Parts: sequence; C-alpha cells; structure tokens
Amino acid sequence: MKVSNTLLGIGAMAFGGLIMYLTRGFPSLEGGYPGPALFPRILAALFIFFGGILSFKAIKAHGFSNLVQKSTIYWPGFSNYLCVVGAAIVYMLIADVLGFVLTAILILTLLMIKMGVSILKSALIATGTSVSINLLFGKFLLVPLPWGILGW
Amino acid sequence: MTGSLAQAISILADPYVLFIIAVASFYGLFIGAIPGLTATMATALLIPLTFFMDPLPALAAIVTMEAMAIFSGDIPATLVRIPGTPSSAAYTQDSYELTKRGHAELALGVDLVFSVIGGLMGAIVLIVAAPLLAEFAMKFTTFEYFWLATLGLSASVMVSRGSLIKGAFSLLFGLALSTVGVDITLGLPRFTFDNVELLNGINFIPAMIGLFGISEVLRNVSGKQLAYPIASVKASKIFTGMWSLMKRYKVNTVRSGIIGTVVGILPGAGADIAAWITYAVAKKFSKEPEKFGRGHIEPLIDAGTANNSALAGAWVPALVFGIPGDSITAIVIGVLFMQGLRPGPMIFERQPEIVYAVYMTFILANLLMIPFGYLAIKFSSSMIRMPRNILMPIILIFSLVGAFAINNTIFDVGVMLVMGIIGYFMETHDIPVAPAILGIVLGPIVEENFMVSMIKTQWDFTQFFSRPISAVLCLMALLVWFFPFIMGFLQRGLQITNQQEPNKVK
Repeated sequence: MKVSNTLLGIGAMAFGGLIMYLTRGFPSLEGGYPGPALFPRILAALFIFFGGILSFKAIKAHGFSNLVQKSTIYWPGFSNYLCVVGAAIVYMLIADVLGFVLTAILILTLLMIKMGVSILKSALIATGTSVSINLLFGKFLLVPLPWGILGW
Repeated sequence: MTGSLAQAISILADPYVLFIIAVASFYGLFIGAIPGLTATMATALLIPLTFFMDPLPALAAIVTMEAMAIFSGDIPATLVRIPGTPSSAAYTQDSYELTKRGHAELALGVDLVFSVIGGLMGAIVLIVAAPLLAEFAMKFTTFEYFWLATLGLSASVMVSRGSLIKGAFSLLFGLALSTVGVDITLGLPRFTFDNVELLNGINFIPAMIGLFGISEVLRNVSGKQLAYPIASVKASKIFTGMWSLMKRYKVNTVRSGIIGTVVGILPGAGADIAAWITYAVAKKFSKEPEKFGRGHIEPLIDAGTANNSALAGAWVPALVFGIPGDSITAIVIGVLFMQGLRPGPMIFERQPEIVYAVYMTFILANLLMIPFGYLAIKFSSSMIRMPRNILMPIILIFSLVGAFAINNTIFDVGVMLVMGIIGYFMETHDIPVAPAILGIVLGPIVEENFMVSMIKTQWDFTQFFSRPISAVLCLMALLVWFFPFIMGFLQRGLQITNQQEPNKVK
C-alpha cells in the first residue's frame, strides 16, 4: 500500500506543525536570543515548506485521485510483514519472562513455518541459531541477555 | 610517522585482528552475494559486535567487510541479473548479458580484478589526501565546521537519486531525530515526553539497525519470493585474459578510479552513485557506446573500479572533518564516538596509529579480496541460493539482540523496530534513507557549532561570512542550494535558443 505524494506532503506539513506546537514552551536565552527552540523550529518550517511544495505539485498533476494506492498490496507478503513486526513486539513483551533462548526459538520457529519452512527444519534451525547467538552475545561478549524461566 | 606506521602494522599483524579481518571478509562476501542485502545493512548489523572490540579491530572489520561486500554484490548481478548491493546495479545488464553468452568467468574475473584495482586506487588517494586535508582542517573553527556540515547535508540531498523534495524530507527527519534529548544551550530536555531513556537522545546504533536491518527484512519478506536460475561457473578460469584487459583499458581504469574516489569524498554520495556516474562517463568516451547494456566489458571495468574506489574516498571527509562521505562512514563516525574517539584533524595528531591502521586495512582488504573473492565465486551458487525464508528470521533475531546489546535496554529494541518500519515506509515511497543518517550524525554538529558561534560572538552573524575559509564554504553551500535553479534556468535558456535557431535558418 502506497500513499500519494499529496498525502506525503500533507503529512510532512502536519509533522512540521507538531514540532512547532511542541516547542511553544521552550525558553529563550539570556537577552531574549533564541535558544533550544531555534533549530527545531527551522526544521519545522522547512518541513512545512517542502511538504507544501510536494502536495501542490502532486495536486496540480493528479488532482485528488489515488490518494492511497491499494492495488500494490501483495497479501502473502503483507501478512509476513505483520508477522515480523508482531514477532519483534512479542520479543519485547516476553523476553524478560521467558528468557532470550526460549523466546528466540519460539519466534524463529513460528516465523520460518509461516514463511514455508517445514516444522522440523524450523525447530532445528531455530534452536541452533538461538543457542549460538546466546553463546556469542551472552557468554563471549557478556551482554546480559535475559535467562527468564531458564534462570530459576 | 614511522613509529605510528610500525605500531599500526604490529597491531594489524596481531593474530586476533587478522582473525577479525578474515571473519569480516567472509561476512562481507556472504551478505554482498545475497540479493537484497546491502553493505550498509551489513555494517549496521556488525556494529553491536564492534562495540565490544578495541577501536582498531573494529575499524578493520568494517573496512574489510565493506570492500568485500561491494565486490561480492557483482556475483549475483552476473549470475542471476540481480545486483547483490545497489553498487552493482549500473552494470548488471552488461554482466548478465555476458553470462548468457557463456562468458560468466570473464565477467566475474573483471569484477574481481578491477574491484581490487579500484580499492587500491582509493586507498592511495586516502593515504595522500587525508593528512594534507587534516593539516588544512586545523585552521577550522566552529564557523567553518558549521558551514562544512551544512554543505555535507545539502550535498547529501542533491546527490541522492529521485525527488529532491523527498531527499529533503529524509534529511529533515534525520535532523529532527537529532534534536531529541538534552539541548546544548540550556540543558533543556527536548521532545523526551518525560521519558528518561530519551534524555541522551535517540541511540544511533538501534536507529541504524532499524533503518537498514529491519527495513530490509520487512522488504524481503513482503515481496514475492523468487527462484533464481543460476549459471554455473568454472572459478579456475576467472583470471584468464585479465592482464591484456588491464593494459587495454588502463585509461578507463585510472579515470574511473579517480572519479569514484572524488564521488566517494562527496558527503552522501557512495559507491552506487560513483558506479552510475562512471558508467555514463565511460559511455560518453567509449569507442563502442552502442555496445553498452548489451554485454560489453567496458562498463564492468569502469563502474566496477569506481564503486570500490569510492569506499576509501568516503573515509577522507569522515576521518579529516568528521563528515561522513556515505552511509557506511556515517555509521563509522557513530562507532568512533562510541569508542571515545572524535573524528577530525586532531585524530591525526592524537591517535595517528588509528589512521594508519585504516590505511593499511584498506590495502590488506583489497589484496585479500583476490583469494577470498576467488573462493566466493567458487561457492557463489550456494550463497545465492541461501533461502530467504530462513535467513530473514535469523537477521531479525540478530537485530533484536544487537539493538539490546548497546545499552542492555528493551527501549532500544523498540527504537529499532519503529525505525525499521519508518525505513521500510521511506523505501516504498522512494524516499532515500542515506540523507536521514547524515542528518542524525551531522545534526548535532550543525546545531552545536551554530549555537556556540552565536553565543561566543553575541549573535554577530557577520562572522559566518567574514572569515575567508568560512566565506568560501558558505559560497559552496549556496551554490549547492541553488544548483537545481541554476540548471533549470540554463536548460530553459537552451530550449529557447534551440527554438529560435530554426527560425533563423528560415
């Protein structure tokens, strides 16, 4: 799914407006000189300026048609996309409880099965990879990867 | 100088460092040979590991990896018509046409040999130019650094392919991210939303892993899986006829090596742009331009030399000014800061062994490319066939751990994921990612140098224009800003002249 340049431009202008809004309470330097707000406000103004140009050009060329191009969605790929994002969120939520190794095995196995790898192959590769990464980062580089229930 | 050089050589000769270089070589060759995975992504994924190394092996690993990956990207371009990295895209058609005619060995041999030559040429320019520029850069103050960073940011938008406005969006986004955290003038927390983890700003490394690692995973899994029919290669034949090609195309090689290095030095323009520019230049000067795109060897020589020479070129501004030449050196600057080193002219005085080690690694990596590249070609079909549905989940897990490893916090994993989604959105909407990285790296430099200059001169703006070097840099920045308008004006002038010419004939 792609959004048109018109919407991109409007989005950029809105983002610029948001930055302006968020900097409204920033204090000035001694003597009334601009301080922490200066740089963000310049960026906000440029966002609004370039967003306006992009939208104007797009509206001039295509009007308001095709604001969102739904035809470009490839559904099997889109579901893979959602699964990868979901896997990362699940990792953030349960890695502390379940531990790195078990969480990684779970995520890797499910993702590989979703993408067409056989269950046995997925489970074997997932286990090997997770244990190897745990050894590399946890043991060798001393990164405190969570042990979770395996640590009890 | 001799002492520092000897020190650099002795550190590089350490078995541990050599082991790191060898591993980085195979890693670079592997990632480069897999269509869709870029050298920048490989660098981003390497950072969590380099974080735990001393500065020298860390830099050696990055230099080696990027050189190998850029060459290795030629392998799938030649065998399956899909460039392994964007740097091989310019001459993919010619490479594949040669393969179809049964000359895959010749194409791969040219790819390998001229990559080595290009890499060595770039290294020589780096070795000669960097110390000279560093001496000159000692005269720089906050005013000059402000303009230099501004020039770098502007150039990154101008040289990015596609819409300039979208390039500007990318840059502004990166700059906006760089404003998150405690401000340098009053210590005010900006855009932190009372989140303690944001006080130090958005961590550069998780952001990089997200923008390059996760976004590429998302792009790969959301596209159609392709089965590649791979041509077979007899690796033993790849060096046949190379000497005569080197003699025949020596002018092309030198010209492309120089252009590639100069393009590499430009902030934001990396190996891929160097390859496209030299392809166009080679076609312009070729005796057989009609053969370009139809399986001609000349574009492989020109663009293949240029993309590898651009890599060393990009290190010149990175080491001398702390201004990255491409997205990989943008990450390198982040690594240097993490290692407690401040890139800039002082690094040549305070840690010369680091600079010499980078020089030596470029030479070593390019020499190692001959045997390692040969092996990569020999086992190319296995690498290219590496199933995407197994590789992508593994890269995801590696990215999750890598983002966590920097500060041992899940928050950074969240930053990485958000950046990955944004990076994917940018790619699917033809918004270049490279200017955003330069924005993240150069944003604090621009703001800090501007604010410090203003405060120390009590807001006397004239200082930005009255100092000679500052004025020249300002002029250059203005030229870059108005370049599209100047070109548009000139083109309109030409069109009017062309329209008037036929009337004159009448």
